[in-house]
Amino acid sequence: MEQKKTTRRGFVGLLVLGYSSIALYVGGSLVAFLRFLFPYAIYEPPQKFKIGTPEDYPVGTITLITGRGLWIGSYAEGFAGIIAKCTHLGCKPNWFPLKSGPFGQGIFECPCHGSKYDKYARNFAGPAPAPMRRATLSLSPDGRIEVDKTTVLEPKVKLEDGKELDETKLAEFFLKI
Amino acid sequence: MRKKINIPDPLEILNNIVVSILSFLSKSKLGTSWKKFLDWLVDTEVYRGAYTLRSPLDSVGKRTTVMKDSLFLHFWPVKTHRNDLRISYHLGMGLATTWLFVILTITGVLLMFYYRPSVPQAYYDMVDIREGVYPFGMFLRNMHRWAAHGMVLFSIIHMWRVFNTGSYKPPRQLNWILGVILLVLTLLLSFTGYLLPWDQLSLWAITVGQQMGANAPVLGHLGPFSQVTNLQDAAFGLVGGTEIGPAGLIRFYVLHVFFLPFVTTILIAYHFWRVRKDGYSFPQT
Repeated sequence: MEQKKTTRRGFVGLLVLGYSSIALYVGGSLVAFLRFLFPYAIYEPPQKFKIGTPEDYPVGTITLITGRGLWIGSYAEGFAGIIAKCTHLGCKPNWFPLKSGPFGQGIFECPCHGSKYDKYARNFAGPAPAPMRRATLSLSPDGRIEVDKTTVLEPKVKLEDGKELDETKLAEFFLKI
Repeated sequence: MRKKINIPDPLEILNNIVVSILSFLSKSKLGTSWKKFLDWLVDTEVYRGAYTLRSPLDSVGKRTTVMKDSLFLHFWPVKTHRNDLRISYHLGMGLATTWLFVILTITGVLLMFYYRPSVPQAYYDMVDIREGVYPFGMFLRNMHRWAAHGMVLFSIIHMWRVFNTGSYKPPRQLNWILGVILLVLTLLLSFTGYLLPWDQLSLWAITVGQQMGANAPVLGHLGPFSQVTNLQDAAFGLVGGTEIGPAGLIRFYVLHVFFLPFVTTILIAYHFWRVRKDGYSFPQT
């Protein structure tokens, strides 16, 4: 029987092939394990939804949309979809219509670290660095307000003690009917 | 003048204890049969295999062999530096931390018999354990809780000691790095365990942690140089959703009861092994 000869070059080639297939196998498995943690579908409420007609939200009220993490603020200037997430570390602030701060009656307060926001959800006290973010609101053809939480607005209007309340700066963030 | 420190031989101590117990027992009738039992036990293959203590330990070489060959006796090295035996030097904090980890494992496994990691049940199972539905439930839960706090505290004191005695220096550099990883694992174990009671405190505490993930550079959707959406980022991978819910609870549970303890156990074993094999950072005097 004739013995097959393996050259040094051929041996190194086999070695590289062997080790790279092991690396590919292990690496591929790791990628698959990591990918496994990011599902195709998640069982959470949809990010776009309708919340009823504008008449359901009288001017001057802040209404919590339960289970959606959203307030609908109804102001003389229009509607605002305030995402109920403190800009400090993400807790859910509470709305206190009877408490008043330096910028009028009705404030939001975060239970985690005590950030405070005025009724337009602009931060004026505590560690919160920015006003609460806004979901995009639009009026759908059937007359109801449609909320889109995937498109988020960030009003960069910071309140400081002693300054006048200037709602015109917020104008672009309101849905006017 | 330098005081001479007489280093006790751990095996000798063990031997003395056994001998004193035996001599006490041998005076009674119970002792005689106990002695017979021990004679039989020492003669079994299992015992001889485990300890190799048969031959008289009349030379350093034989003692050394016995120490090296037994898993339980070689926790102590064949020879040791005198600082290793001074509790005022090493504070015993590494050992204390390890014991707390053992306590946490035992109490944690017991708690697992009653705790179900799903949203309708988790909080009420925890309350049942805490409020005395199960015998010793409150005790075990509190033991788990305090041991967890203690493990964080003791590992930090352990690091402080290692730093102050310069024990992180060569040849022990790698063990310092392993220690840092173990500290991170300890903190992660505390963090993942924090969600499991499923009350307001845990929910918002983990929300804060989730925000840290979301604000991570590159891998968080709110962080600097973000490359991902809120459905692909680190916070999502941790919590299994855009906010903490059933998916997040089971993820934290699996991390807490299996993944992190598994990695920690392996690293603790390696950490110990390196302590014995690396030699000492200070000059031998």
